Amino acid sequence: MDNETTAMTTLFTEYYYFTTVVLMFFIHLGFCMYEVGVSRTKNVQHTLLKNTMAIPTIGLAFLLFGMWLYIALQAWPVGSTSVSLETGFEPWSPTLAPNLTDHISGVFLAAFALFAMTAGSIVSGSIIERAKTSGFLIIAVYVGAVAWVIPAAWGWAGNGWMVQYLGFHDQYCSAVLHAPAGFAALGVLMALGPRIGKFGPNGEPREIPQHNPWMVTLGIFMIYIGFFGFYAACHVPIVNVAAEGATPYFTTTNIYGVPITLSGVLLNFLFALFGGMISGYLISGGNSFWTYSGGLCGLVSASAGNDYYHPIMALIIASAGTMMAYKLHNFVERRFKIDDAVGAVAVHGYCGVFGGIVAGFMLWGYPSILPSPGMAIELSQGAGWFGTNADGVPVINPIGNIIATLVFALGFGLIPGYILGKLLKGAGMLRVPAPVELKGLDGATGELNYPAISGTEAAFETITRTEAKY
Amino acid sequence: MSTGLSSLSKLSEVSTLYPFAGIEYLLVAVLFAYLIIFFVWQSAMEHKHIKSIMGAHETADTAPPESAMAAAE
Repeated sequence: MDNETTAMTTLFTEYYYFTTVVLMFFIHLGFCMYEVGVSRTKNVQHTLLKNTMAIPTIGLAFLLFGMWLYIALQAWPVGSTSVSLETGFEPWSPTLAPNLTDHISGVFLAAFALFAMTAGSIVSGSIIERAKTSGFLIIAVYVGAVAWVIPAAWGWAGNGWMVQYLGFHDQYCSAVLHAPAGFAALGVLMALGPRIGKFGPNGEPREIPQHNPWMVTLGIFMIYIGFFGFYAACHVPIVNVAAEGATPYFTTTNIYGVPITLSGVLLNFLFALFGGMISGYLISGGNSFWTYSGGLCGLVSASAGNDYYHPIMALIIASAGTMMAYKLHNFVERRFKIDDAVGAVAVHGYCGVFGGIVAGFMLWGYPSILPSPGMAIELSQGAGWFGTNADGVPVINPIGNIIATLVFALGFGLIPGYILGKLLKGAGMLRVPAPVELKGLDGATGELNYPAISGTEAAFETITRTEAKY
Repeated sequence: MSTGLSSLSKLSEVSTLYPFAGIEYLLVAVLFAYLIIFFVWQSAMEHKHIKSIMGAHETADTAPPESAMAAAE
């Protein structure tokens, strides 16, 4: 780098994404604690390792093809019918390894890989205590490296065809990531079936006791922390968005190249979290599980437009989304006998769809992109099917957001999730046999999860006292 | 002999820093195989684990688990 401006923007961007990756790892720490806390003592290790192994598995799959899908498919099939194999994000690209000519590709891919792991982990919690790890990991690769990646290519990039032609907007991935992951979980749950004992003889749902509600609490707090990193990684931290030859305009932008402020976004994040927590607390009658999950519901509900909303709007949207998700979760559980152990479908699926649709109404008429050489965003021919502004730039609108959100939730989430679940179940790779579920998925090692409860600690104590003749 | 980087006198001309640059396709093939081996190994490991639990369950029809015996003592 031979000039100060390039060096400053490049190195700051590199460091910025590096930090977001570290922060986003807290999401996985949180998911692991949360799921382990919800599971019963006989399933602790299986629950922990099922989720944990999604991290490297999705990460490797994302390097192999996920990131390439995101870059290569942005205009395909509407803006362009060709798909490039020279994006710089093919797994064999020399810029993905230590390379002095490229400071960004590696951290950019890593941040995306963390999004991918989050998407896959969303399914993990809902199917605990009866799903096989082998089947889950295949589902996780689909959800993490395909199901949200193609929606992101189309709807979460300045050159994405849905952004340009439909005027779609979803800055923090309500519809792009949470909706397909949450609805994929629903599809898998439909194929998987409930845990033994979840529903009574008359179909009434039973509360399966969490083995450690305090671990659940801390886990969701960790996820909150990770979400700060998730939000931060959705920005371009510093870039010149001025037209070629014009006076430079350095700014932080959203994923569509439009200037925003981290200052405003941070307040929206907090207010959405507050709205979710408060409404979750109230609607559930003070249930701790739903109070904490409510915080996530609030964030996901407001995320699609949280780059533009007023903080109090974020609070209201988050509150409404959380209440809707709570009611819908209980209705679906009772009516369709869906056993979602952690409420993932509600938090991510229902709130993701809610957030995507609401943003289309709230931000109606906003320019969906800012074409600029700095962001390498170009306006496509014929863009703006549902309206353009006076500058000819496509605008955000409810129809575009509704269409895209439903395509993502159903076309990439529910339907493939159900088909994949059915195929894996048919192959004997999805559900453990009933005796294993009753005995516990940890088997003999389960006795070591809590030795004081299982009696192994007392047994060993007896041996040592006998041998010591004490 | 150098496996990659041999001089830092002209930094503007330095690009790849890793050794054996040029074998990226081979490395990707290794990664792909690594992932497939992981899936097969993990699946076999889980199958064995489930079988052992099933065996223990059948034994449990006639004898209580060790932990229950320890607790009874």
